[in-house]
Amino acid sequence: MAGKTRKVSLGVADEPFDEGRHIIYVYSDDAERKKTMARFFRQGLVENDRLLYMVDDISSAEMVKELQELGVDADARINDFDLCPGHYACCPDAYFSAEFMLGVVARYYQSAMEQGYAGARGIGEMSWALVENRAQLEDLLVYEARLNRVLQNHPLTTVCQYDAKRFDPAVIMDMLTIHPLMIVRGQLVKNPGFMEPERFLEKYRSQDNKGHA
Amino acid sequence: MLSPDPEILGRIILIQSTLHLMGQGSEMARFLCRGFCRVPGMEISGIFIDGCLHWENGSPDPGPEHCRRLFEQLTGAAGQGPGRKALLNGFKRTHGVQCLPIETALAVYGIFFCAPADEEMFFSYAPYIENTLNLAALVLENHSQQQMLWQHKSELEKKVKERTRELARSEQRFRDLFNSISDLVYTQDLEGRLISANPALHRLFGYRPEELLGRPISDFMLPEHRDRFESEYLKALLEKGSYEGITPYLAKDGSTIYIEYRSELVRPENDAPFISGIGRDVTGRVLARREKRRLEGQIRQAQKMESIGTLSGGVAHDFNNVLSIIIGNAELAAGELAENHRARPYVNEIQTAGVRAKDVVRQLLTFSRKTREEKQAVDLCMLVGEALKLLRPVIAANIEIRTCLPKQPAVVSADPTQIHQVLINLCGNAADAMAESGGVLAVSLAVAQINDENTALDPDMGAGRFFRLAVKDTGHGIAAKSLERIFDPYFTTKDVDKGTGLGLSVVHGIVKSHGGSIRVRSQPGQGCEFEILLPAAEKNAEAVLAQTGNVPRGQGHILLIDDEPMIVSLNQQRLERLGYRVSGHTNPRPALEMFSSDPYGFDLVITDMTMPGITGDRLAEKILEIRPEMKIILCTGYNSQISDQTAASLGIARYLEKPVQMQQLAETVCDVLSVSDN
Repeated sequence: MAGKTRKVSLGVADEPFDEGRHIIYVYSDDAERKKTMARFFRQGLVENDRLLYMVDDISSAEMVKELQELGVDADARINDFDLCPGHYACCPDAYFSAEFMLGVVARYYQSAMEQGYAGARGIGEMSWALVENRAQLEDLLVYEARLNRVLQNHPLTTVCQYDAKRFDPAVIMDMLTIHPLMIVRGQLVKNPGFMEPERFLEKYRSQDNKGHA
Repeated sequence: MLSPDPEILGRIILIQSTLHLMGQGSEMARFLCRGFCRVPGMEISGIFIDGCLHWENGSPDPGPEHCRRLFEQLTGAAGQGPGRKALLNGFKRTHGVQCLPIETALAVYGIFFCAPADEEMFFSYAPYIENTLNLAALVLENHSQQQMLWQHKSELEKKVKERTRELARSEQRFRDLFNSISDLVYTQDLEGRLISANPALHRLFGYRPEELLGRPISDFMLPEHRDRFESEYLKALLEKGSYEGITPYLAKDGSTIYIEYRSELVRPENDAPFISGIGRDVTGRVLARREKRRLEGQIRQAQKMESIGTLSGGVAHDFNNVLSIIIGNAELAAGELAENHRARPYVNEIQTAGVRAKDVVRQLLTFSRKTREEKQAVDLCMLVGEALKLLRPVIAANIEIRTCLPKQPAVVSADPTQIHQVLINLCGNAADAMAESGGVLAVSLAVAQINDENTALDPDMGAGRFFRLAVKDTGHGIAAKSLERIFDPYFTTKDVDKGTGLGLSVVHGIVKSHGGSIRVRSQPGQGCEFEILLPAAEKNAEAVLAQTGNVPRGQGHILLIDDEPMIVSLNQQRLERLGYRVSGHTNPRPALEMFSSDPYGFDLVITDMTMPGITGDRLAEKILEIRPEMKIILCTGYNSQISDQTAASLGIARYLEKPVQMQQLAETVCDVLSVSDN
C-alpha cells in the first residue's frame, strides 16, 4: 500500500524517522511520560497527522485537559484527535484479540488517509492488559510481534507505553526485545536488543516449553 | 576466547539502558535474571538483593542462608581487602557457583550467582555482565539515595504539614479570639484607614464590615474631634509609636459612643508598617462619671445653699427686728407729720426703703428655700415697675429700658417676692448680655387669651386668661445648643465668677409653681426674648387696691412680749394709737406671771418667738394651759419651723413675720379680736 516512505519528525528525536515505526516506551516517571507524550502529539499536529490516544485511567475530557496543560492545543484541534479507552479498541468482547486489534490499526491508518491526513500516529497505554484474565502474555507478544508487519503496509507510527512500576520486569524485558525502537528517558533510540518477531516468538515458545517441562 | 554474540550483547545493552526503570531490588533482580538467561555458557543461580535470593529456576541453588551469610561477610570486615577474593573463591569451591558482587565504591547491594557451564564462553561475556551489575549497583545506590531523600522530603513535608496544621489551628484560635472577644480589636494603615475590625467593633458601630473597612476611623468621629485625628493621633503614633485615650464616635444610629483605646505602631520585618489597637466601649462609664460629677456639683451647691440658708435665717431674725423698728418708727413719725410737712417725703422714703430691705431679706430666704410661698393677688404692672426701679441704678447707662404695660392692673395670684425674683433674674441676664455693646431692654405685659386653637407655651397648660410678660434684649443671643439646656440647673454660659447657673432654673421653677409657662427665643447675634405666661387671678384689680385701705382700730387689753425693748415700745405705741390698752414686757417670765395672776384681764397676747429663757411657742402653750380660749399672735424675725398650720395646731390664732407693718398689725389684731368677739 505504501509507496515512497514518508519521513516524519516524532518530537522525541532530533532526526526524522520513517513513519510507521513501532516504538516501546517504558516509563516509571509519570511527569516525564506526559512531557514525552505532549512532544509526540504536538509534532503530530505539525505534521498534519491524525492522532490516536488510548488510555484507560482517565476520561476523554481529562485527556483533553491534560494535553491542553502540556501545551497541546487539543481543544482547538479536537477533530484531529481520537481519544478512547485502550480496552475499547483492544478488547471487543472483554478479552484481548490480537487479530481485532491489528485490524483496528490498519483501518485507523486507512481512515486517516481517506480523510486527507498526511499520516497517523498513536500512543497506546498498555495498562489495560493488567486486568486479570483480560489478556494472555503470549497473545500480547504475538500482537506486538505481528504489528511490525502490519505497520509496513499501514504505517501508523505507534508508541506502546508500559509502566515499569506495574508490569512484571520479565514481561517488560520480552516486550523490549520485540520493539525496534525504544524511548529511553524521553529520547528515541534504536533498540540494541531488538529481535525479529518471528525469531523471538520461536525462542520464547521453545523456552516457555522448556520452563514448563 | 570466543567472540560474544552481537544479539546477546545488544540484549545486555538493552538491560543497561532500561535498568533505571527498575525501582525495587526484587524487580531489578528478576529483570537481570530474565535478561541474562540467554547468555550462552552459564546457568544463573540467582541474585541476592534486599535479603532474598531471586530467580526461582536457579540451578545449582546456593541456598538462601548461605547467600545471606556471604552477603553479610562481604559487607563486613571479612569482605574488605585481600580476604575478599578468598571469600568469593571459597564460596565458589564449596557451592560450585560464581559470585559477582553488585556493588559500588560505597556499598554492596547484592550478589549475582551463576554456574558457568562453558567457562570459555562465559568469560567472553563476563566483563559485560560485571559492567551491567556495576550499573545496577549504581542504580540501586541512586534509588537508595533517592529513597532516603524521598523519606527525608516526606518527613519534612510531614513536619511542614504538621506545622501548617498547627499554624492553621493557632490562626483559627486567634481568629476565634478575634471574633469572640467583646473588646474592640482593629488594625489600620498609616493613614488611619481600617484594615480589619472584629465583630464587636462592627456591632458597636452598627455598620457592616464593608461599610467600615477601608475608611479612616475619623469618618466616625464627632466633627469637633476630627481635626485632632491627624494632628494628635497619627502624629503621636508615627513619632512615639503609641497613642491612647478616650474618644467619642458616632454610631450608625446617630448615638454617641465613647471608646477607650490604645493604638500601637507595628513594624513587621518583611511587611509594611501598620497600626494595631484594642479598645473598649466606655460610654456607660463616661456618662455615669459625668452624671456623678453633675450630682456632686448639685450636692455641693445644695450644701452651699443649706449653709447660706442657715446663715441667712439667723441674720434675717436680727435684721427683721431692726427693720421692724425702722419701719415702725417711720410710720409713727409719718403719723405725727402734717401732709404738707417738708420732712414727710423723707420719712416716706425711710418707710419705702425699709419695706424694700424687708423684701431683700425675703429674697435671700427664698433663694435658699427657707421661706414659704405666700401667694396673694398682686399687680404685675406694679411688680415690673418696682423691679425696674431697683435695677436701673445697676444697669449700664448704655442700655435703654423700654416698658409697655397695660393701663389696667394685671392681677395674678402670686408670691410677689418670687415674681420679683423672676423679673430681677430675667432683666439682669438681659443687661449682662448687652453689657459691652449696650442696647435696649424691653419689658412688656399684655393680656393673652389661650384656647385650644391658640396653643399655650406649655402643652400641659389649660385654656384661660393669662398675662404675657416678655423680657427682650438686643444682646449677643444664645446658641441653639445652649437654648436646649438653658433651664437646666447649674447650666450657665457665663464665666465661673459671673453666674451660678441657678437663675433661670429658679425662674423656671417659680413660673411653673404659679401654673404658668416660660419660653425663650433667641439666635446668636440677634438678642433674646423670654416670654412668660401667668394665669390671671380671679380677684379683680379693685380687690387688690382695697387691700391697702384704712387702718382698722379696736379696743381691748393686749399683753405684748418681745425681748427687744424697742420693738415692745414701737408696737405698744402703735396699738395704743389704734385704741388698745397694752401691757408690754421684754422678759417672758414676768409676763407669764402677770397673765397667771389675771388670765381674764387680757383679750389678746402678742409674743415674739425667739426670746431668752422661754420661746414664744412654749409661752403660748403655758398661757393656753391657763386659759385655753386665749387668742395669741406669734411674731418672729425668722423661724423655719413655724407656719400658719403649725401655729394653728399649737392653738395660736395667727402667725406674723417681722417686720410687721402698721396696716398688717392693725388688720391682724382686729381680725383675731373680732373672731374672738364672734
